[in-house]
Amino acid sequence: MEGRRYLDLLKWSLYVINAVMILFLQDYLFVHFKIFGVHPMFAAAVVSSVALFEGALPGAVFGMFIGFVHALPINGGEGYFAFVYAASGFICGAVCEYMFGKRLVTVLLWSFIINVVVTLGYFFFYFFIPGKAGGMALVSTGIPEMIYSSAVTPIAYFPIREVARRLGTEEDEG
Amino acid sequence: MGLRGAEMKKFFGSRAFVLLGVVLSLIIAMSVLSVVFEGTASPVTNALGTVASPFRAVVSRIGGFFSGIGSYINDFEELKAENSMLRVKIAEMEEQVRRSQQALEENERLRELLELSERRRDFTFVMAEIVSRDSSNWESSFTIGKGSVHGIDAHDCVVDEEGNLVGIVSEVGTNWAVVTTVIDSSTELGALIYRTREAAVAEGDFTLMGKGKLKVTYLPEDTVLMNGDLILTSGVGGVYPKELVIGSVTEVEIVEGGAGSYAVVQPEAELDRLTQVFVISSFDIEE
Repeated sequence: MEGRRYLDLLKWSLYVINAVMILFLQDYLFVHFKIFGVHPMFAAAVVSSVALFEGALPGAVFGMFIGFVHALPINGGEGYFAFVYAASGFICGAVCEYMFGKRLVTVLLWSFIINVVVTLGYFFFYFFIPGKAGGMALVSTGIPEMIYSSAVTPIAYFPIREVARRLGTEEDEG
Repeated sequence: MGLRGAEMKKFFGSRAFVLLGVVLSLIIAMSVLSVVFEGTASPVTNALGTVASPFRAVVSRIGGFFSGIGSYINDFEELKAENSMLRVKIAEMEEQVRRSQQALEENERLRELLELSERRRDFTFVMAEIVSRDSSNWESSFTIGKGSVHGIDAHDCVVDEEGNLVGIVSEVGTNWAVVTTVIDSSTELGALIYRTREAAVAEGDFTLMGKGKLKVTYLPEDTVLMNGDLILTSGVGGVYPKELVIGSVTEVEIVEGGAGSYAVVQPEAELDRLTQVFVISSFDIEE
């Protein structure tokens, strides 16, 4: 029992370190690699990867943490990101507990869905409704951001998968 | 395959789920608070930002190393090509320098005219380092390592070392503040065309923000703008001091439908290369 608690503590510590490192590289390294004027955002990939392997409630709590960390360098939106990533982690973990295998394809799908929800919500609440940007901004920035952010999912997925495999309680099917 | 009903019921009734619901409700309350506390950070945001501020500075320095790697990889080939091109240009420009001595003297007079510390003794500056930049694809802002305890308030104007307008303080914490730059889509301020002394409005545009530029609108009908025309702040409204350099015109575009025109402006401040800024914490409002 003690051994299992220690492994769980180590596992979650590694998840957090991995997530913080990826978000750190997002803000300081990947900002220089832009496609169509946008750089990738890794939060959705990290949340969906952890939720896939750990389930609904852990996914929700981890999503909330990632939401706060993700919002730190962004001007505004702390509550929004924490709520949306918590809800996304919960739904992803809950659905994947009963459907879908623990595979890269599953994480790619959920990462894309979460990116769409987060980007659309952020755009409508912070830009479209206040009149700061019109629909063309969604085409020029939102869509490239959703696609690019989803495409870099493997960078977040594989380290998390290794941690889950070596320190988890069940084998993944991937 | 199907959902196990009894297990799901037990799950939704569990303490952990209830606790999660309570925490999510708190998060929603925080979001409401952030709307109520416009300009000044809400108590929770301030607490988070105050604790995080010292770490941001450390992280920023470490991040500078990784940022350098990215810049090096990205810029190496470009720099090689640019170096060759610049050698040719230098030779051409040396010839131009010899021929345009008069223009250089006029340029020197303009620089003296805009020399901030001699002309504007009414400014009170607070120097601050940039500790982190907004990583969002939707906004242009950065965080500085000074806040309300250093005399900074929301809506204080921010300039670079040459007095060029950088932006405005949009949120203040105890020892940190967020600066929204001039190219952000929420920026709007009174402007003045230096050559003709005509008034206009400088505002951020989402499409131009991606290119690092902003636009000048509400131009007088008979205005004739030229490439390189300086755009200054007009001081109208009392938020921005008068006659700070915003940037220079790069092109003039016709508004869709032909209802007037607007000028695209390149900011004079090098927003991507800034490491240190000056917050104007007080100034005399000139009528």
